[in-house]
Amino acid sequence: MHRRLVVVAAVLAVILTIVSFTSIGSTPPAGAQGQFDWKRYAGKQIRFLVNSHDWTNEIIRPATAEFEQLTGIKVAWEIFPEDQFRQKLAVELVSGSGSVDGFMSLTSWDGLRFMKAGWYEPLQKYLDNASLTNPQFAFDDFFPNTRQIATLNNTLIGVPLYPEVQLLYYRKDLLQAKGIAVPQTMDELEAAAKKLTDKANNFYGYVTRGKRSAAVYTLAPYIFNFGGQWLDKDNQPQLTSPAAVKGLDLYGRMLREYGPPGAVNVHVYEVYDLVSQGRVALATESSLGVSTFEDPKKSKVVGQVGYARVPRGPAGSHTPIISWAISIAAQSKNKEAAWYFIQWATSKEMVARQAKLKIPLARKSVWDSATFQAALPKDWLSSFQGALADGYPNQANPLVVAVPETRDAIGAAIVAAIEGQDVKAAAEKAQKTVAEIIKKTQ
Amino acid sequence: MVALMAFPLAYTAYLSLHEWYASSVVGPAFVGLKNYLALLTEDERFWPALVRTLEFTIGSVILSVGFGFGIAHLLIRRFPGRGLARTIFLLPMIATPVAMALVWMTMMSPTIGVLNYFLRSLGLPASAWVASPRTVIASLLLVETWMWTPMITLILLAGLSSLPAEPFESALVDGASGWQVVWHVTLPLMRSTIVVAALFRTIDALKIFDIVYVMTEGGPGFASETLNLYVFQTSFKYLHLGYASALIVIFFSIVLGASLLLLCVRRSAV
Repeated sequence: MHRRLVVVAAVLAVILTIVSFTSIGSTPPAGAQGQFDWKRYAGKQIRFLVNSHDWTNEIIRPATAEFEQLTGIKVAWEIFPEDQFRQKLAVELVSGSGSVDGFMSLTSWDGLRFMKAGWYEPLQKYLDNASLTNPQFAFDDFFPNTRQIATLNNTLIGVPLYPEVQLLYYRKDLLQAKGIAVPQTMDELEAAAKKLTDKANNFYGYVTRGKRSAAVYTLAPYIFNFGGQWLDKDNQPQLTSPAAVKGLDLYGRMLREYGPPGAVNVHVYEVYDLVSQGRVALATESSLGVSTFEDPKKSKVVGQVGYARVPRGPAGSHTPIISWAISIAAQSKNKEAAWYFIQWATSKEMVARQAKLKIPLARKSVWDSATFQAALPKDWLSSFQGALADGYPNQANPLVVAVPETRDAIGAAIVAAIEGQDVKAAAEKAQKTVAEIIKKTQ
Repeated sequence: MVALMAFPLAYTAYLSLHEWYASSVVGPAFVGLKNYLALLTEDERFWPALVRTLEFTIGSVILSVGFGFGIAHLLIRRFPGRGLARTIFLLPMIATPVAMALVWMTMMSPTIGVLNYFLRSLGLPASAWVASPRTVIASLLLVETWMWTPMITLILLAGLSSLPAEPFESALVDGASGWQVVWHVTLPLMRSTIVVAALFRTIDALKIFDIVYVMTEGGPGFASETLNLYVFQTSFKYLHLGYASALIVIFFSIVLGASLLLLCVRRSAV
């Protein structure tokens, strides 16, 4: 009798489980899945410090009420512009008051410093805990290289938000008019830039960043494509390697000969301006430029811009892949509630909202969705995919503890190269300074 | 009051003897005078920044006091529309430096800036303005002078209008020319006012930050990095607070020294 009851109960349990799993298969409203206990931390209060971006402003901020309704957790979502954000976050985390439960960080910039300071809560144990992580969250859905961005010293420290690679932007109409093919190699890039430059008419063949610290990011593919790296296995800078010197030399020449006057003051905003005002033919920049170039309110060249991979060198085409990530603060007293918020904010449903706003995203399922595929130009999508697969996670600069001073030192060499000074000497000076910085801070 | 003023200074001096990053888990470690030694002997950015700051300050004081005196001299005369002219001359001083720096930055843009448009239409070669290490300091001086000459004008105007009339009358009776009056009467009478104006300007110019930060962030390269900017980078960007404190102590001594020097000049002037 008893045995029979047990069997019946077991069968019932199996049926129930199957039913509940199949019901997950249908599409429920955001976060309203049946099995996962979203209310477990109801009544908790959490506070996030975040960087101002379309994602923080347009997607998450208006939706926090939905999260509060779903979980009963109160959220303070505090947004600051990037510079103030870093200062505010550092001050609060240094004080160790535990008032911050979660924060954003740009791992290529802040990662190792935050890691060394012990500000990140390792995430893997939350992901592995079925009672804390909704099975639907599916971390595997994130592109492998973007998961790498959020992995520092083999520790997962956050969830990647909106990845970024570098692309070549070119004016389809101008290249066609001059019978120039889209540059596939660094040599072709220089040849094309030369042909397209018309200084008498204030028109320039090529532009990328020239401003000290900012330019380190766009220099990276020039070094990688010639076979160079920022650091060797022992964390020593490689700025005087033949590849690095060659890349630096070409970078300086490209901006000096075919770039706009005053290239040493050009930051990403100026690059976007010059392209969208129709003053340059070619540019290598962050993949985010697409939203400016395709916006009729900001761009005179809508529909005329083509998207391609950064031209390859002898070692291929490799750009840095970077992304902001969202993390739990190690000093938080409400870590589980903070994790609830993070998995909700980066769930498939929320990432799908990114697709509608044309914000690049890290989840494969949403990337493949019809909405996202229709939102962006085909050549942008395919170039981004290629660059993402071949890119180097977090290599926007040498991945060290002291990024700002390291970038300033390399940036000084870039400015010297653009100004036409001795590239080798500039590289040696940067090498020496960066080695000292690493020695002092690592 | 004393504690309020003394504590930050004392704490900075204390920190300057320590090696400490704001983001490090360990607290400040005592290193004696190591930060100062490194600054004075190894640092490749400190000396150029110091020289640049002094050049910039001297240039700025000479230009703004010179122009300020000239303009005050014009504005003290009675002429139709004097009130309006005075108001217009004072406008740059009222505007927010950051906003004005942004406006100047746009005007100085090498590609789309209006200044190069003027130069070209006058048949002159275009300038890179703040986008070249060779012209950046001069361009910043131009903006700084434009922004601060009105304040000097205001101080000197007040000084001029309080001068007694007799010396001028006797000079005229003695048949002195306009230049002679300015040189032998106005300037000696105005000496202490000018020193006060120059003192204000010197202290402000030494501490220049806003327009440089907005327009160049110390670039291109480090070609316009002044001491104050270097302090900012070291403390707020690099979070290297021990080292930054040593910089601040040196910087503070320079400002204090310059002020004391000028105060002595003023004493001897009175």
